[in-house]
Parts: sequence; structure tokens; C-alpha cells
Amino acid sequence: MSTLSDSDLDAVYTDFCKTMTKVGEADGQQFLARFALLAMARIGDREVIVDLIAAAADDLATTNGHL
Amino acid sequence: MTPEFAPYPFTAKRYAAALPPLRNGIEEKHRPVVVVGGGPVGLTTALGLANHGVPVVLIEADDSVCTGSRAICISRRSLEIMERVGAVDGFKKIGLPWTGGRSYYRDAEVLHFKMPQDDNQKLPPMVNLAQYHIEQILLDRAEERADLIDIRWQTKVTAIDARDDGVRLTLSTPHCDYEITADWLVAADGGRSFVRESLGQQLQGTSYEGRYVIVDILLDSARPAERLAYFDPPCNPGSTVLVHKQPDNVWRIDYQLQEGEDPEAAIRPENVLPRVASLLEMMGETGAWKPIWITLYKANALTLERYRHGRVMFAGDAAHLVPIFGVRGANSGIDDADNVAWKLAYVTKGLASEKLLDSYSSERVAAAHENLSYGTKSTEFMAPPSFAFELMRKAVLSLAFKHPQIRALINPRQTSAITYADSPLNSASEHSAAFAVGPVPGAVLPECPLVILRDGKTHGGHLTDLLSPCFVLLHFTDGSGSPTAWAALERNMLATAIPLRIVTLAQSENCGGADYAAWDSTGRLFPMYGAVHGTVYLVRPDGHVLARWQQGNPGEIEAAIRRALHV
Repeated sequence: MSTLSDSDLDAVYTDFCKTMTKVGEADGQQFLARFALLAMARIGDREVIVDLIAAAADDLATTNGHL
Repeated sequence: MTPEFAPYPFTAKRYAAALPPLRNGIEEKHRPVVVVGGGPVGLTTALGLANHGVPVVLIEADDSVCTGSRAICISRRSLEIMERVGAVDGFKKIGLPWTGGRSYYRDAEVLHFKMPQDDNQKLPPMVNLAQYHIEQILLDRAEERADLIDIRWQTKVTAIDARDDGVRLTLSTPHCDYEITADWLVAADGGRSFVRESLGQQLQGTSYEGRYVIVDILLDSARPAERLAYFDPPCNPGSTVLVHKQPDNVWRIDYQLQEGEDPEAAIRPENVLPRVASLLEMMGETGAWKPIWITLYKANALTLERYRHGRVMFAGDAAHLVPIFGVRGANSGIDDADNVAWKLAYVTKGLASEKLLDSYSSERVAAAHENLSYGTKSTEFMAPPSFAFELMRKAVLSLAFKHPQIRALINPRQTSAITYADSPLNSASEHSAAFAVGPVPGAVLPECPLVILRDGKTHGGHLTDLLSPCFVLLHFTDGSGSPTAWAALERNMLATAIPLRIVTLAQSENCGGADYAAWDSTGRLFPMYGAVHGTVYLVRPDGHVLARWQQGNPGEIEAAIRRALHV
């Protein structure tokens, strides 16, 4: 399904982190929210998006501790 | 109460300072090559030069091999280099081989990675052993080459005069000071290189803030050797911990300091030992243990712009500092040594123009940038440099268990052999482009088992067994035809004193009457190299491919060698 190779994922991940670093911590949440909205619009499939929302929220109650 | 520390289960031999014959405070003999630094890089360089018959003086400030916890992982590529300098047996005897590792987030395993390993391989992808082992193995081998390698223990460089036509070093010993002159200097004197400072050169790049505590402990455990990484473990919430097994019941533990923790306080035993105890408890290690060594580590990603400065070549940590994550420090230094040794040897023997040495710099600087880019990515994961990297890492780790496609981001990107894709030495790229598979010019040889026939005797072996400290021509054949044209090429090169070894690689047991041949007994070699009858791979003395032809001819091969050597 995904056409993103491991090294592509690696590259965009780093780009994403660096961009968020530049945006700054104060606007970090806003950056993530905007990225999520843009991704929804680009994915363009309601079912997929609903699945992703559920997967992103899954387990968060238990992963909310350290780090 | 002072906690009880154990010594390393290793006793280093001590070596006395020795003086050469002097005249007016200057060593009588002018030297072709002096190497500064008796660590893994300096020793490998000396062994490499000796392999080519070049005498070398090695200067070492200490009176023995190092102590403490430094390099601990030696890669397959480094082992191949060790094999060529005649030191691999010690690594095989002492080192603990391993092939993969596991990463945990809290108490769940989120990644089980494997390094490339299959039954084509002769050597394991990685062995663990302490740097004092590495140095002692190399030193023992260097002592066997005492005819060519002259080690000066307890000798410090105090001044350098680097000129266009050679170098003059001032050396300080417990007996007296003296000067030595040489045509070439290899600076393998480590991260705080005196040579580098003397020449006014500076490393450039990034220093990371995140710090790690490195602890060696003595613990008897049957747990297998693999890389263990614990992110946010229950025993040390919020931290990242790495665990490596080493020989002789030594375990190396690296853990990340938390933000705001005072580094000075963090390395006090009373702060370190409880963390180690809770880690071992979490791992289910119940045996008695003792600390051996505690130190602090801060990741750097730094390099010089060029590794050749006139008559001075920089190698290893003197040339670049690579983060520990991915184990590219010592391994890249050993690669430097392998690269510079044959080139210096060819230049000092008059077989190559000194321009060949510029390719040492360009190839190894490119390699350093590749190592730094992987090392930087590993460091950004292991010691997140900003809130964003930290936030995203937490997302990766918490999703990885259920979403396998995310797991690649946790992979530690362990060191692998580097291809000199843009090397100025590479030749005949249009011929190489005709291959669909096989190593490109600049790449190292993929391993393959085969049957070697030499001087009428037959034995099982591997492709890399066919390498020797000279250019090697791998000539693929179906057994028909005669090797006479190639023999003429061999004689031609010999007449110019450039040794060339020609090895016939045959598809069947019939090797066409060649003196030195190998048979593709598994049938895997030809397809792996995209080879047909008449295919030729020309290989450099350091085992990297120089050029390849689907149908090679002696004239092109000779031209490729001469072009590389600038003769």
C-alpha cells in the first residue's frame, strides 16, 4: 500500500523534526495540527482518515508518562 | 562507603622507551614514513605499509595499549582488512560475534534487527571486543613484522616542521629529546591530535548536547551477544540505555543523562551503580557484578575538510569524530588506514605519483560525510537534540509495536562497507554501466564461497581469500580459451614493477590450465557478479573495485591501472 521506502521515511522524518524544531516549541502543536489537516485533505479518503485517527489515539492513555 | 571496583580482566604488557642511533640529536636514518599514534588506526596503517614492504616508524606516547571503555564493535569490513594485514585470527579468537539486536520501548520489544548475514559470508557482520584487545592483537602482529615496523614507546611529538618535501618531528622521551625526519607523516594521534593542532587545522561540524554515561561492569551471564537498546525502560524511566556483551564477562552499558542532570554528579559511583543495579534487575540478570569503569560521553559529528595536507595525512579520530551510535568510529579509522597504507606504499616505492594521495583525502572525506550523516541520524534518535525530535521519537516508539512500517526509524543504522562511488580512481564507467548486478567501481567485493586451486592443490575458501597487497584481476571464464594473453599482461606490469595478480574464476572445475584459479562451486558467484565468459573485475590493493568489463582486454586493464596511479 505504502510506496514510501525505509530511507524515504527516514528522510522525511528528519525533515519533519528539523522543521518543527525551527517552528519552535510554542508553535509545535499548531504545526502538528496543520500538518494533520493538510494530510487529511491530501489522503482524501474518509475511511482511511478515520482509521488513522483511531490508531493515533490508541494506547495514548498508557503512553502518556515519561519521555 | 566506597564501592568496590574490579580491574579489567586484562593485563597490558609494558614497553620501554628506546632510542635509535642519533647524530647531533637527530636520528641518523631518514625515514620514508612515520606514523604518529599507536591506537587501532596507527597500528593498522603500520601493518598495511609493512604488507607492501615499506618500513615505518610508529610513535606512541604511552607505554602500553589503552585502557578503559572505547571502541567495542568491529565490523565485517574491518575484519576483512584485519585478514589482509594478517591479524584476523586474534579477532576471531577473542571477539564475540553477533548478528543483530533488539530495541524495547518500556517493556515491549519494538524492533528485532538483523545485520546482513547469509551462508555466502566468511566473517560475521560484527564482533565485540575491547579496544585494549584490538590494540594488543594489532601490536602482537606488528611485533612479528619488527623487520619493518619500529615502535617507539613513551615517545611524544613536541614539535612538527611540515615542509613541501618532508617532515621533521621533535620527539621527547624519558631518556632525551631527538629529531626524526621523514618523507611522509600519518597523523593517527586521536581526537585531540597534536599534529592537527600544530598544523592549525580544525574539525568542523556539530557537537551534541545530550550526554551518555558509559559504564563497564564485570558480570557472568550466558545471555547471547546482541545489541540491546531500552527506551524509557521501567528501570530508568525517561532514559535510553544500550547494552553490549564483551569478552571475559565484561558488559558495556551506555545510558543517557536526563535534561538538567549535572554531568559531574552523574558519573559518581553512588549515582551510577543504583541505575546499573535496577537495569540488571529489569533484564533478569541476578548474578553478582562489579563496576570496572565509568566515563562520560558527548556525541560529536566533526571532520576536517581535507585529510591530506602536503606531506601529512590525517586518519581516524585525528581526521574526524563520528558519534558512537552505529559504531563507525574505530571502523571508519581502520578504513582510513587501509586506504592510506597502499597509496603511501605505492608513492614511496615510486610506483605512483603523489597525486594518488589526493584520492585518499577525497575518498575518505566522502566516506566520513556518509558516516557522519548516518551517525547524525542515529544520534538524533538516541539523544534527541530538540523538543521536536524527542516528541517524534516518542511517537515512533509508541506506534512501532502495532505498526511495523514505523520500525525502520528505530534501526540503529550500523556501520557498513562504504562505496567510493565518486572516486577519481574509478575507470571505465561506461563498461560498468553495462552490468545489471555486481559491485560497481569503488565498491568492495561481495563475499562468496568457492573452491580455490593453487599449485595443484585444492581447498575450500572465499572470494576475498584471493586478494593480496597488489592489484588483482578477477577473470571469469567457462574454462575454454587460454590464459596466455593475461600472462603477458602480468609480465608487462611486472616489468614496470607494478605487481598484478591474475586469478581465473571458472564456472566449472576446468580452469583452463591457470596456475591460480577458483571454481564457482556453488554456482552463486557468476550471477552475483553479473559475470559471463570473458568478464573481468579489476580490484585495488584495498579490495575496492577499480573497474569492470563484461569483456575485458589487457590494454584497457593496463590503462586503468596507470590512470589510477598517475604513471
